[in-house]
Amino acid sequence: MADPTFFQSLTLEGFRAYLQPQTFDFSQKRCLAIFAPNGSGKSSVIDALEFLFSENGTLVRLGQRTLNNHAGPQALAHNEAQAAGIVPMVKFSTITGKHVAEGSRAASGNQRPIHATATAMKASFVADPLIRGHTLRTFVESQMPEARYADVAGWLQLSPLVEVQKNLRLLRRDVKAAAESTTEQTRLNGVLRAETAQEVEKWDDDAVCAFINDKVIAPLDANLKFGATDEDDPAYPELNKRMEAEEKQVGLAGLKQIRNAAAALWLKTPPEEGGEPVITGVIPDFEGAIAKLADAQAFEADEREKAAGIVFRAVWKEAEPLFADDATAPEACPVCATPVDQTTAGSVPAIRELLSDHLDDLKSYAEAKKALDESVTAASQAHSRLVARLPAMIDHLEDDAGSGFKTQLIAYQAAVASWPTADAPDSAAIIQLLAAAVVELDEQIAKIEAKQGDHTWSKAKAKVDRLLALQAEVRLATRISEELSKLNDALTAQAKQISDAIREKVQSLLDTLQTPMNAVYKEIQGEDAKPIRLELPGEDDTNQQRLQLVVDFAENRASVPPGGYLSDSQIHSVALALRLAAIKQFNVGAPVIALDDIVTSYDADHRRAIGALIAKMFADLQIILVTHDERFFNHLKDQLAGKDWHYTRIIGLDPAYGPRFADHKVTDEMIEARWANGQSAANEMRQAEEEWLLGIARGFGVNVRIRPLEKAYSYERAELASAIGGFLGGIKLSPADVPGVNNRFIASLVKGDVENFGSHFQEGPYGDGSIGDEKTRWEEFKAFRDQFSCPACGRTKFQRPFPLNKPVCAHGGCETPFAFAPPPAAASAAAPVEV
Amino acid sequence: MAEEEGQVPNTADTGELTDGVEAAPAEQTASPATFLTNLSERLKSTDGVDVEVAGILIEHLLMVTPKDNAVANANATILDLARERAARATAEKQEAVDG
Repeated sequence: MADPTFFQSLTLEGFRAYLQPQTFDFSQKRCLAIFAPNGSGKSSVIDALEFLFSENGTLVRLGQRTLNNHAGPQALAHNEAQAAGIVPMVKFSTITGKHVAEGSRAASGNQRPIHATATAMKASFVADPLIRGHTLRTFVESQMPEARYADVAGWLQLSPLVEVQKNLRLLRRDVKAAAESTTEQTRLNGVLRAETAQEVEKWDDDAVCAFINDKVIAPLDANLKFGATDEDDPAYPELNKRMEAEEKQVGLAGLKQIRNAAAALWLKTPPEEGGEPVITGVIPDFEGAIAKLADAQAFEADEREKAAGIVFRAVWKEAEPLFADDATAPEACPVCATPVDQTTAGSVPAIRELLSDHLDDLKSYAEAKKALDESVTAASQAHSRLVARLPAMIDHLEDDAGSGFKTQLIAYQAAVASWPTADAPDSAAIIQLLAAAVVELDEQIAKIEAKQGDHTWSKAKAKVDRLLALQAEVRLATRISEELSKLNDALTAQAKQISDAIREKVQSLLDTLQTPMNAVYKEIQGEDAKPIRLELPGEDDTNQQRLQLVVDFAENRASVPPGGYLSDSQIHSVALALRLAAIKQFNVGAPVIALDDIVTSYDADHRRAIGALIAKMFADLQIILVTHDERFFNHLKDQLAGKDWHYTRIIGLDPAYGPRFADHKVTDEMIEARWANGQSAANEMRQAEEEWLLGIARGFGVNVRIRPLEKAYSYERAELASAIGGFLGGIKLSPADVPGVNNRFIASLVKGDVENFGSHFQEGPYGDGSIGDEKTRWEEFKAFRDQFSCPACGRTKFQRPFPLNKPVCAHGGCETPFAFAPPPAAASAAAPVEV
Repeated sequence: MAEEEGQVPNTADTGELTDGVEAAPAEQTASPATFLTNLSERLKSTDGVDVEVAGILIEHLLMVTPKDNAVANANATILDLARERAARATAEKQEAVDG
């Protein structure tokens, strides 16, 4: 089996909360636990791991772009990185056997490609190695089986398979809808109803055939019938033949056309009620026009003759104004100078009357001439209309032997054409023929209409052809629908095959996980915890793939949903157990687990149980863990192998630096550094005191009072101090009073004075005191602490092997029984006091 | 503290999870891409399978990162296939009639 790959180091630089480079070295101790309060940068370490392996160089909670609630990849970089000239980056190295590989990934810019070393390591991650507590909470809260399935599939990195199942379901839905769609059939039925005048509602071969026979063919020939709606039916070629024959005959439309042509030439319309018949047509129009023309010509000739005798018309015109009634008439003729009284008229009034008569004659002629011109125009127009109409009628007439209607009409046409050079022809014979033709045509039309109405073979053929085309469309649509149904069946079968295979894969993963998952689950929840089963019920058309969690809660409650029977914490444990088991089971090539605040839903007992679980079942994995739960952190320190684990805590977040780390032991230098920066060191002092007390309590082997259940595992400083005090009293040893402290110092530890530092000056019991107060207190503590050193070698670690009553120096070469050394400042003054 | 005191934490039971849990078979641990590739091959070679439908599924859906409109494209391809087959059936029927 190939060597597994572990992280050798991890460096965050300008990444998330980390501005200055921070390297975590895993070469000596494979596992790392970080404790920090919220908002101190602990999750940035887990973020770095997520980022290293992410497909798109971002974090899930940041998204791929700044949109809606997502901050986008720009939030990967520390906000001061650019100003500080630091390139945001995560560097790492891995070790496989003895082979060390290094890599890095830039956390800024558009290109943030995954490093090949990370890709190689990621290939071993069958199950996502990152577990964040809030995702477990989501799992608890999202009880929908579909969501749970997607979650679990995502944990097992099977999301693409879930996507395949989802897409298959959508495709099946669409294809099924298409196969069952009646849209095209409905459209074609609409066309059919229009073609059959609503007689046939939907396509039915027999019904359509009956419609053709009864409604399309029968009006033309009741004996011709289609046996089937088919071009191959014998009736179809017969229909075609009749249509062709009809085209050669004068049909109803043709008769109507001839009748209209004849009526346009001459038509006598009988009166409706008692009046005279009305004669219309271009022939009577023409004849009327030339009759008017003849009258006009005669009138004009008559008037012209009258006007022609007036030789001096110009003279009369000129004379009219001279002899006007309102003018002074000349006394002599303006032309010949004959005195007026010597003229033929003899007087001015007589001249005026003579002029009036002559001028009236001139006016009548002008009017006659105008009427003649108009008659000429009207006759010409009527002639043109007649000339235009005659060919249409001639074309409709059958040829004759030389004396028939057509011959006579042609002759009439020729005579008409010769007008006005020749006289207009006599139309009486033609009119007689036309009148007879119209009567005959009207009779034929009435007869045909009485027989077949508006039907023609041509129309019947067109109708049958449209119905046959519609039949083809209906059949094609039906075949398409049938083919779609077959394809839908094939799709359903293949989708089932695919989904079953995916389900089998998921179920097999779940099956192999079930036993280890329950082992983990019981480790957290206890041996009595009912085993959980992970079941994938069959997929149906409406529901997507689901993951059922079932539990045999009791004999009469078998296979029931745990949600109704287990607590949220238990279900939370199921989720955690499933994830841990999957990582353990499948990530053998890279057995790494990153845990981000996974115990927030648990009580103290379960937190300790999870610590024990990690020690018991996951000791061979590399675990990188961050938590804001200090008790859990302490449980881990208590239970996990020190040779494999490095513990550190973040003691503050420096915006200009990043998280400030301290190893689990708070040093004097750390406390003094806080003061040097003008900062309170109360937290560090409390931690230092607690760590020192725990060390002494362990070394001395003190008896600790078993706590009530709600505080079963964690012992605070006051309890440790009380136990140590009790132990020292039992062996008749008492530390010297600390200078400046009235009571014995151990009592102040029991009281927890340092917690109340601020209460000297503030209302809040946990407020900070002044740095001066802290320094005084720290000096007192150090004076007290210094008494706990080996009287022989000065070392500060002790042990109490069974059955000794007193502790001895833990140094192998010393083993001097413990005894108090006097405080330096009061060594000579203070004497041991019985506790 | 545990390491500070030189004590050995309770690691006696540390080790494998549970007896009987075998190493995961290859198919179980195959990546989704490999799994889908193998599944595609099996689908195509299944007796009586409609290979054209299988081809459509393989081309559009059986992949780790399908296109956004993969379902619509697959659906359109299936509808086209139905029309093609219907036209083919019509032509075959006509040929049979025509002899």
